[in-house]
Amino acid sequence: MSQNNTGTIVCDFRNARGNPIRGEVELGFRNLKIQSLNFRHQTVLSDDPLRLAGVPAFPTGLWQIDINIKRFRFKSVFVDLPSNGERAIHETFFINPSEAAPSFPSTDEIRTVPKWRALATALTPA
Amino acid sequence: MSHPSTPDVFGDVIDVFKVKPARIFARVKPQLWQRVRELPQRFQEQPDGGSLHKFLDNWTRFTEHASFKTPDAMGNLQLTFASNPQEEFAVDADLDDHRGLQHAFDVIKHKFSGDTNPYDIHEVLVKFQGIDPGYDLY
Repeated sequence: MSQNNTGTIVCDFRNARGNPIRGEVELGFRNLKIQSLNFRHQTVLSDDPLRLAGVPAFPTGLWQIDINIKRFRFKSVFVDLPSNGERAIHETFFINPSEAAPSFPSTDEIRTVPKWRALATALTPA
Repeated sequence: MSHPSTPDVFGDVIDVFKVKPARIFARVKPQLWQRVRELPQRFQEQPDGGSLHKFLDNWTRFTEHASFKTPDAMGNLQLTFASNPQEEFAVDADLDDHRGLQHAFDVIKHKFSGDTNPYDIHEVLVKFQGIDPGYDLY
């Protein structure tokens, strides 16, 4: 029997386009009542939301969760986890600019693709 | 890049003479200023006339009806107009993402300083306005 009541935290992390984020994530759980319950969880995100079962819940279910996803900006959220229940974290993450790899249209594309025509004209010296 | 609530105005741009991380300065046709004024719901005139927006060289910000801002909660666009002695028109087109960043990050520790990063602008436009900036970030 667990020493604490437990619950499940569901992590639904998406990018700016609303697509699920894949890749490495590190979650830092800080319990706001009992520090000894703090723990870290590292995993790899897939298309399905991440489900973390067995997390200490009410009356010790108030958590601050630091979310570090590789290549995305850091976020920290609060969760109040009910006993034998679950809480979902629905969050959007922006790409970390320092790790962004942009894919720009080529000069030829800007010159030839219709949607870029106005830009090509504006960038051409009169 | 366009927004469905506005007509395609890029044809009114003559040339772009300065590019900054979250804004461009462009020489434009005078009709752009008129078109913006005819869309008061979309471009709301700013009572301060865009006083924080400085033009250099021989451009002088308009003394009346100088600056207009879209009402978007995230990633709004501010257009500030100027003219030169040759009676040409220019616009300072500035994207402001600060409210978008506050909402999107929802962070406790994050500290944001300095000029706006264009990649953040990219993400704000994609997320909150459904605009395709024309390039992807990986």
